[in-house]
Amino acid sequence: MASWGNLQPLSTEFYSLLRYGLFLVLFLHIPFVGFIIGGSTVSLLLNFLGKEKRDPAYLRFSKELMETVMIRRWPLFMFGIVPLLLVWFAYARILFDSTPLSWHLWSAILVVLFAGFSLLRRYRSHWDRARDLRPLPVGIGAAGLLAMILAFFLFSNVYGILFNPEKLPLLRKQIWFLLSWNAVVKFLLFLAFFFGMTGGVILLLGGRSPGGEEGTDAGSRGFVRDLGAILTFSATLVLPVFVLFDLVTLPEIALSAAVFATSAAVLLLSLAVCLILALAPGKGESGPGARVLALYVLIFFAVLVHDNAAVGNAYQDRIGFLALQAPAAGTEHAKEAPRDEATAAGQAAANAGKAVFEAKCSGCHRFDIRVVGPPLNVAVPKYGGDPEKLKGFIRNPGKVNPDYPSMPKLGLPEEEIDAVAKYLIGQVQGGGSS
Amino acid sequence: MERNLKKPAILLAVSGYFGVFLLITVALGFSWYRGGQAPDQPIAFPHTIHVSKLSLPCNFCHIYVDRSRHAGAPALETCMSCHRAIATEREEIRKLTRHYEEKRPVLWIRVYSLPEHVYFSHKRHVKAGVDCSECHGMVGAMKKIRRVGSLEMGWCVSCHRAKGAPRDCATCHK
Amino acid sequence: MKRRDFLRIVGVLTGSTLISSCGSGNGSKKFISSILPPEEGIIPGEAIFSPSTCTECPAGCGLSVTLREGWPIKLEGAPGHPVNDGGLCIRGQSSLTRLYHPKRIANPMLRNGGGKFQGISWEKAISLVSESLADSRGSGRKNLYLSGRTTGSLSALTGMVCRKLAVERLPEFEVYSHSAVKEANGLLFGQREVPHYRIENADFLLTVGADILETHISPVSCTRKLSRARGRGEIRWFHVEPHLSLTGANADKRFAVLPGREAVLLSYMLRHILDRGPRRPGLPPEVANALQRLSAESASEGTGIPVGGLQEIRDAIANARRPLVIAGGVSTAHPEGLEVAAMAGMIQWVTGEIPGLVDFARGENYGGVGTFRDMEDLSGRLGKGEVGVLFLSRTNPVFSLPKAYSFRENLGKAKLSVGMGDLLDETMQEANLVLPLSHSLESWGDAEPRRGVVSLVKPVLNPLHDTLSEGDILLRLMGKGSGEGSPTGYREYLFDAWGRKYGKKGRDEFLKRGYVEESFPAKRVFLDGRKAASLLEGMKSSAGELGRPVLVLAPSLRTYDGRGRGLPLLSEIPDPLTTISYGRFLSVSPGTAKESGLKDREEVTVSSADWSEVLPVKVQPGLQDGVYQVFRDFVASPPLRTEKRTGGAVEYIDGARLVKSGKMAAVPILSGSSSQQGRGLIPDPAHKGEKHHHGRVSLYPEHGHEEYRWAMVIDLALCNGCSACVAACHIENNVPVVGKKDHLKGREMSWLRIEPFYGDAGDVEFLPMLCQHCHAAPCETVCPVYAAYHNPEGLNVQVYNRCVGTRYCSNNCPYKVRRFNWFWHRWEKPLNRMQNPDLETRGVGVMEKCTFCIQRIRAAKDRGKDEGRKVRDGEVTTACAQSCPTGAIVFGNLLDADSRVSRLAGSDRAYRVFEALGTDPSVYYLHGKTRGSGS
Repeated sequence: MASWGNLQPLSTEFYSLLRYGLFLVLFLHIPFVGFIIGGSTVSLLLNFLGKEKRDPAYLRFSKELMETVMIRRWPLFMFGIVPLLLVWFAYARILFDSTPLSWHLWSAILVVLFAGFSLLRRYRSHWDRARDLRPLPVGIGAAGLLAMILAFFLFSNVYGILFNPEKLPLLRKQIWFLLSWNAVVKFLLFLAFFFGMTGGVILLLGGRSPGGEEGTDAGSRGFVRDLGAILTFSATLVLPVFVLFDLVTLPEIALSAAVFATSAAVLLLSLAVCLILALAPGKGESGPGARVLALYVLIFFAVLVHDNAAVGNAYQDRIGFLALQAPAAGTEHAKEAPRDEATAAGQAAANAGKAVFEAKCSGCHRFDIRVVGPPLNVAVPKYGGDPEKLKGFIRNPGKVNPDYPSMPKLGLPEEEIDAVAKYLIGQVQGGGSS
Repeated sequence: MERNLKKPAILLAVSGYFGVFLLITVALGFSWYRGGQAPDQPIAFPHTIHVSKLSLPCNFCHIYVDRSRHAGAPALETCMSCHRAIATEREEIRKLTRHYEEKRPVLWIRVYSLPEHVYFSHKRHVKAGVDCSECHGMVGAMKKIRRVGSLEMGWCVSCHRAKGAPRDCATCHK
Repeated sequence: MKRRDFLRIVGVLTGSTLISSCGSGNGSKKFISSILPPEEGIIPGEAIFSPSTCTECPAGCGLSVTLREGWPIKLEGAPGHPVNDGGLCIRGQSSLTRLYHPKRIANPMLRNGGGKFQGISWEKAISLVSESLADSRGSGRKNLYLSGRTTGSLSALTGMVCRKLAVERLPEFEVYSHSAVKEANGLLFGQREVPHYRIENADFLLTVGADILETHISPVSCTRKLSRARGRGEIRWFHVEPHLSLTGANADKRFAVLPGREAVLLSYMLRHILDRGPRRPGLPPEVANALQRLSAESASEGTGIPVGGLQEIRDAIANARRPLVIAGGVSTAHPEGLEVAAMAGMIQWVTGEIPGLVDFARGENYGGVGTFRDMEDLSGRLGKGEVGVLFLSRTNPVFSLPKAYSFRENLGKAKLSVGMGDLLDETMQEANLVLPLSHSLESWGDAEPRRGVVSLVKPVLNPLHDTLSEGDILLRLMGKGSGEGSPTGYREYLFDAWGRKYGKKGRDEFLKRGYVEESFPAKRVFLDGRKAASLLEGMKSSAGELGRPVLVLAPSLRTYDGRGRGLPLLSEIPDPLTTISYGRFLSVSPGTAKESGLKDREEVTVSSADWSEVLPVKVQPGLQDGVYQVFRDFVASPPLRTEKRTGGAVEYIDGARLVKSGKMAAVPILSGSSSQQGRGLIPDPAHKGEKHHHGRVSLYPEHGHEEYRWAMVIDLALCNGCSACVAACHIENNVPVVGKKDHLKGREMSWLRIEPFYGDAGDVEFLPMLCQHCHAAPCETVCPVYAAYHNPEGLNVQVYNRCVGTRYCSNNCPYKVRRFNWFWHRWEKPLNRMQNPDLETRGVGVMEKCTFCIQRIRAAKDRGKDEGRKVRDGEVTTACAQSCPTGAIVFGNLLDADSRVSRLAGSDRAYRVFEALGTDPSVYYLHGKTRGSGS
């Protein structure tokens, strides 16, 4: 996986672009997967109950739900798999120094998720083949669902790394450091969100008369609406607990005012949801589904903003650092690309010397004019083109010329000293001759 | 009749429930605001410039980091050896010069501090090849130094475990 | 900026982090950038060692001062120093608490009209003194300079200044002036001084009253040499004394002589040696004839020593090839003291071993020290009002002198009495002007305790208070007096003097090493027969008899002549013989106790003709009947006679009567019992070799050890109970001083205690008891929070911040070495500066105990890791082992087969306390004859 090493974000702009890309992708992907998980759970549940109670309403709605959840193949691919690939790429860029890790994990996640999809589709196809509304074996569906959940658990853990870069060095040693309370809390938070959302959708479905089917009586509709309401209400009630724990478990470096503000926002929004449900008008008119769903979109938006801010804080140093390192990085690339075989070695050496000079010396020295130290065109010739003498001075500098502050001892590695000394002498003599 | 009694009750209960969580969140936020932020130092020393731009090695200023348990703050003489000449017109450098001339040591505000009962040696960690940034983060990018890592026991132990460092209590507990 | 200033600042740095230690909340503490980088070799957070000299007593032991962040936190004996060679006594250890004493005088003080002291500036003080010097010169009054024993450059300077300012320099005042010995040597050999006894060359040592392990001349040096010789099994040591001293308790044989009758014993010995046939050089005939002839019986009757005992001593001396007789202490401080000292000298002469054993070339610089008679004269002169200015430096005559001298009263008659010292003792309180002296760790100087041995006094920190060194005061006075302002400081004076004496290179060497030892040719001395004879004639008639019962005023191990009373640590650490920590007491013999029905702690009024004191009683096994015993410092201005010829004090109060007051006093006697109650803590040699074979059955897995298993070996044959280790432990480990009230409740905190166990014959053995670091520790298994656990290096570790104070561990510990913090023990400023930053200071509700100085182990391992090696044998040692003057304690790694501990632990003398319990301790004790021990 050596190639991953070079996958560094080349600029902060590029980096923030990545982050907002990631934001968008997740904004599409997570609700989608979430609805699949939530929906199929409910459907399976109803299917099961239907078997027990032999009540067609249950089974019908279960089927209906499954159909809404498991749409055609291509949207599954578009919203289920493709986003993950994008996210994967984004990760490779953001967590540039733990990419081997994310590589393995993402592959795992993809595989499991794919399995989940296909199993659920399989489960759904049973319904199509079935003539009348006969209870069906729940096994495959359950398996699929579990697969989905597992995939999502893994996902949230990898997602968790984004908030704690301090872990990366440890992670490279032992994968177990991947598991963190914060990740678990996030996983639970998302689950709660899923069910809340699903509930909203059910309310919506329940509100309308389900797909022009004949003989749908008010009873089943009422049942559906209640189901949705209860689901959302309870999910929304547990939401704040996880929001709070998320704040507590977030590493210190990820915190900022924005993080707290967004959490508060999530709480307020979920409060609104609960109130709407609690004070919903009785039967008859169109239910609160639309409003609830709208609010849930907002909630999820807030959550993502929250996470995005946290990631921003957690990574600000690393990225800032990259930004500052950028010129040096540039020279490194230059170093790597020797044009001509013949002069390659000398060229490389010169480049190395140049790189060191720009990184370490240029703060105080220029060739032509006095900055902090003397102009090198004057100072270097004192060493009569003898690299050893110059190297000796660089190793432990002393005061030579009283009009200048004494040069600090930089403690450079020997090869850098060698390179820069050669480079300086080369430059000065070259400059003198031409 | 009873319906319009019920509604306010529910309303109260629900908003009360969420209210509690809101309060706690606000409290957390406040405590972070008080303690969790990077403190303002007497002299706004930019690690960004010295570490990243000039890429001075850490032990260029923190000279004891590989010799003692304390990393040590640089003596003002060290700062002045460059800043007699460099950027002397800047306000912060003027502060520095004043300190130096009036022989007043600079009292920096500690960002990292350990309880009395902990024995910690920078030397041992540096000599074991632990990179400064593993505990202190990307200092080179911090305009104000802030604490990364909680410095709680679990934090120490997780690293000791990962790197196979000794985990006998007496290694760190005085 | 000076190095010390830098260190001070760094001190503030870590000091602040130490004081305020509130979790990892940030932004709370300061982190300091000093102005200049430190000198090479000074690294904050690492200990620095600096040579200096101890000034707690006249012995002048060499010090190695441990500095952390610029503050001295521990004093240790300087290894290789000609006086103490690494050892340091309990008083020396405690000297640090004098430096940081909260009650130290902070600035010069003048007594105002109302008799109260009020602070004044040094400027004022100095000019005041030199003015009054001037007027008293004018008004024909004499100006006098009195000080404690002064040697080296300070003595020279004092002489010079006194000459310049026409101040009469009085003989120095020391309670233990050894005047009898000086007189005797003057008489016999024309050498009026205290010689240096070369114990290391003797094969038999007879000490007559000389408490060489406690206060006699140079106790640490004596102890060290003696224990080395004993460790090699090359010397036998008999001790004769009327009372019971720690020294007596440690001799191979101790003989209780009737008070004041030592002369009879010695004359018998001398006679016998002569009769045993001619020795080179014999005694001149006139002396031999003058020597009275005693039968063993009459001698026994005269001395109270049974005939058998007499013969034993007699033969021991006679058969020894290089016998050494040291007379001193209370045995030379009575009417026949001069004879005792003289006769000891004659025995030495007869045996012909003087140059090798009694070294006059390296006399113990007591030349300038005067006697009690001198002080009597001084008091007289004061009384006559002929004294103008009287300087009293480092001396406390008001406390030490007999009431009869009425020194206190007469002191008031001086026009100006200038007290110089560090604590406000009795004399200082009487003075009109008080000049605070800097501690020896705050000032430059040197000391020459023994001729040719010059030891450096070097400051390690700036004075904590507005104090000056005596040298600086003198120089300033001279400056003022002679008009031309203060020429130089004392430091410059000294450097100049050293430069002249040793040359530039020599001086630097001296400053680095901390001492210089010049070598002289041995001095040959000759016996003056006529004087000796006349002395012996005189003796026949003289009545040295003391009216019994007699009260002996013994020198104190803990406070010397009382100068240590101010230091809390010295009261916190119990007297090894009685285990009494705080307060005064009177020792009586078991016989006396029985007949007058006295019990421990019972209050009695002890009185003589014109004096009485109320003291609680301690029954002291081994003390002979008819003799009571108190420590010198328990009795303020005691009613002592002055001995005519030597001018020394008679340290006895004869005809002392006891009257029960019927009350019981609160006396903290720390040991539960004076006997072992047959528990075999120190096994009876008869039963040695009986091993308990039954293997231990345990539910717990065995501990594994990778590289180290730390263990300790304590040689009971060498341990003499001097308690230096206890002091060292206290200071090294921040063990709090808790005070009398807690001691009475049995809440002492000391991690290490000396347990004296008495046999039926009054013989005593000392058992240092500390955490045994059991391999199968009962304390570990009962700790509910795993605060007590066994670490991979065999240490029984206590994690303080984990301890919740259930005290199960202490209940379950068979050795009772765990200490519980019942309170927050506050360290009164500036004592907190003494704390060792390598240890946490334990808070209330926490159990603490000996850790084998884990911080030292940690440091040694740190050094080892830097050099990529394991810790070498002897590289790490505990504070107690380091300070032990006898080298009885050895610490090291048991896994290293050829480390000293392994070898000693394997010796057939080794045993462990309560081995039968199966606790498998890591502390081994060596018991029985020292011969053949690996040490």
